This record gives sequence, C-alpha cells and structure tokens, in this order.
Amino acid sequence: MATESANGVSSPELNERDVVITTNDNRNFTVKIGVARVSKTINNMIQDLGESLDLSSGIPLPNVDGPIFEKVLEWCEEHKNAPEIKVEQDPHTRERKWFTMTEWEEEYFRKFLSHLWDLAMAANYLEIPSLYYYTCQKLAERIKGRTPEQIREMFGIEDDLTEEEKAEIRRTNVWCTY
Amino acid sequence: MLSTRRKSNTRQMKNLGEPSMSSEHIPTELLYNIFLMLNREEIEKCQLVTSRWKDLIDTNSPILPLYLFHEMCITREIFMIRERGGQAMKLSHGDRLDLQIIRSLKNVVFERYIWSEWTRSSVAEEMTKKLAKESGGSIKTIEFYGNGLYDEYQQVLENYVQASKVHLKLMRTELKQLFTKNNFAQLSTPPSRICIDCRDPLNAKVLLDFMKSGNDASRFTLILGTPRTDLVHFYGNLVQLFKESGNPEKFSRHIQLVGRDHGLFYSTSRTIFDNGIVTCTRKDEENRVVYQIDRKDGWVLIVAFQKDITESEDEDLIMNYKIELIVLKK
Repeated sequence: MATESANGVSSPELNERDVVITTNDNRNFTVKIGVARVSKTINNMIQDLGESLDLSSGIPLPNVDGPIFEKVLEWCEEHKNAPEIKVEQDPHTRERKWFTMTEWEEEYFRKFLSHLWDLAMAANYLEIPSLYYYTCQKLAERIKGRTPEQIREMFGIEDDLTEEEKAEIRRTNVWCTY
Repeated sequence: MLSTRRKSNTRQMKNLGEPSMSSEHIPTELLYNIFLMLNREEIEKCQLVTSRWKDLIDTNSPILPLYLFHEMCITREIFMIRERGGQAMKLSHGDRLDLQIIRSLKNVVFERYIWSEWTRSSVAEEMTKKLAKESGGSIKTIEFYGNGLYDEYQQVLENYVQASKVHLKLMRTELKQLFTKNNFAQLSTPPSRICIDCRDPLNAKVLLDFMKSGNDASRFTLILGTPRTDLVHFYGNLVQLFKESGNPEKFSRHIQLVGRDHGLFYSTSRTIFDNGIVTCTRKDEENRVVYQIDRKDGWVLIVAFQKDITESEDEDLIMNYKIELIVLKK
C-alpha cells in the first residue's frame, strides 16, 4: 500500500515533500517534512493529522513568530539527520555536562547571540531538545564569570533586591565570593 | 555590537533581542535548565541578580548542583575544608565550631573525606557525626586510616553520608572484619569502588582466601605494599585465579603493588610469565611496560610495570616500583 499520508512515518519520500507552516504573524514557510520533523511538536502534528493532513494549507504555529522560526529552521536543516542528544550529569555534583558544539553550531549562536531567550523558548515549545539544551548552555556561558550587575545589564533585568536582602544572601552562602 | 546585528536582521526587529526580553517572561523551567549547567558558586551568585531568580534557586536548592570541595580532613585538633583551588577553611573542634557554617555545607560534595587515625578522640568522632548529619553532604571518596575505628566508620557511612569510592587503610584485624562481614554490600547505596590499602603482606593471604571462597570482590581495588617474597607467590596465585575463574572480575578488578625492591619486581614479572601466556608486551601512554594476557572468552589481564624516581628530602634519589593488575572485559 502506498502511504501517501503522513502515517508512513519513516518514508523517505514523505520527508522530501513540502509542508506549509504558518507562524503567528501569518507568515508561511514551505519546509521539507524531513526538516520540520526535527521539531517533535510539528512531527506529532503531522502524525496526528495522518490522512487528513493537507500539506498545502499548512500547520499553524500560534506561539512562534516568523523571524524566530526562520532561525529555528536553519537549525533544523542542519540537524535533520542528527541523532538524539544525551543530557548527562555528574552523579555527585549533579552538574550537567557541557555539550561539545560543532563549528557550525558555534557560528549559529554567534550569529543569533541576541536572540538566545527567544530561541530557547521556541525550541521548548517546538520540542527540539538539541536547540533547547544547547541554547541553555549558551545562556549559562553568558552568565558564567559575570557579576550580578553585568548579568542584569546584559539581559535587561531589573534589580529588585534591597541591600539587606543581598547582604542576607551573602551571609547564608558563606562560600559565595560575589 | 547590538546595532550591527540589528542591521543584519531587517524583519520585525521590535520583537527580538535580549534588551526587550523582560525577565518575567522567561519560563521557570528554562531558568532551571540554565542553572543546572552552572556550578554551585555561579548559582549562588545568580541569587543576587533578581528576586525571581533568588526564589527559584531557594526552592530548587536541593536538586540544583552542589558545591564541590576538594577535601575535608578530620584530624585530632582541627578539621579542614579545602576548595579545589586550595583555599582552606580550618575549623577547630569543640564549641568553636559554628553550626551556621556546618548548615551551610548542606549543598556540598567532598571529593575526598579523610579520617586520620587521630580521629580516635571521642570529640572528633562526635564532630564527624554532627558534621555529616547537619551537612547532609555527599562524598565522592572517603579515605579512612583505621586504627580500630572500623565500626564507627561503618556507622557514619551507613547513617550519614554516601560515597562512591572508599579508600581504606586497614590493620589486619580490620581487614578480616571487612571481609568476614562484607557489610558494604548491605548499604543502601554501596560504594562502587572500595580501595583497600593493605601494606601488610600477611593481608594478602586473607584476600586470597576471600577471593577463592567465591565472594564477589569486583568492587575492590587493592593496594599492596612493601613487597616480600610471599607476595610474588600471591601474584602468581592471582594470575592462576584469572586463568581459571569463570568470572575473573569477581576476584578484583584492580590490584596495585608498590615498593622499592627491584629484584622482587623482576621475580614477580617472571612469575607472571611462567603462569600465563603473555599475548603482547608494549609500552603504554604512561610509559609503563605492559604485559597482556588474553583469554579466549574476551577477558584480559593487564599487568603494568612502572618505575618512578622521586627525590627525598635529603636529595637522595628514590626508586619506586609499581605493578598493576587490571582485569578487563573486552
């Protein structure tokens, strides 16, 4: 039986077909199914729709806007054949192990450095673990070694702690050097 | 920098970029996943950024990464907590120990926790228990220089702390106790590696009997020292065990022999040659001479010889020899 629908999940033919995805600013993106599927959310939608999927009328993404989706798509294109990432932690300190990024990934984040929060939130909604955890790492990298003041400035966060509260934090965290 | 980036992205700039992202919009889960990538020091620093971050860290403190200290050392007079970089906090026993500091240790993991034989004093014992109980810290390696303290040590390990690796320097009687009771296995989270430092060669016999009796010693790393002739015999027996045992891992995965007598090491290597078919000889990346014995079913015994030259205080050169036996499954 020739599976024309999206139910033939692993069908390479289907991966080559186009699907239209509409972002919340009414922009239409024509994307190869194999690329769109890097997002588990979109993949689930394609599977759920099954026979009834109309590839041309499109899949709506009410939580993502066009400019960010465009950036996410760049990631998906590069990672369409990438294996699932492994999130590992040190069994003692519980610290997450940092991922080793490829030159392409480093360049990607250099390019979109000022959109890290949006990328992380889009990746979370679209369920793209690689983009989500890698962006978290990039954000952690930005936080590392910077003073609280520099962090607030960088992320545009308001300083709503009183001096007393700060003194209390420093007192309870006896090893804290900031 | 921001301005150039803005130029390169012409569409819908007003919705994008860090400055427009006010912190309330960041989902809790995202922040949590960022904090998990940071070490404890960075996390505590993040508490100073904004009240939202502070509250989130407060609430999730027990599941966020722990502070890593290099070592905690308990001796007769003081105990010392050392950071990885070497900065040490010395605390005296008795009333001078500030409970506040102990409580602040709840989010730490110690790479090494050393109980010296001086810990014998009841004050120190009390202190250890108090510290372990109050801090709830996790411990990677416990080094225990026993002198009849085995039971207390066991109690501390059972009730207060977890360790993945235990390094024991034991007297013969304690070693017997360890092997007869084998109570590590009964701990709720037994250590994955138990390193036993038994420089007394008579211990070798106890060990060998333990292994021969079919007990599982796969978690033990044994360090044997001050080699004498009877140890050569011991090594010969180990190689024999390796060749015969169905699951050679059971008799220990890693055995080290350290000493200064070159002749003895020479005869040990000969014993190994006589007992086993050495498949290959090579030098490894640590410049050790390595003999390898392969079993048909995939088990490999690696015997590595290493020569170390160190300078003593009066500038004499001291030769140290180390033989390691490592059992591997290919």
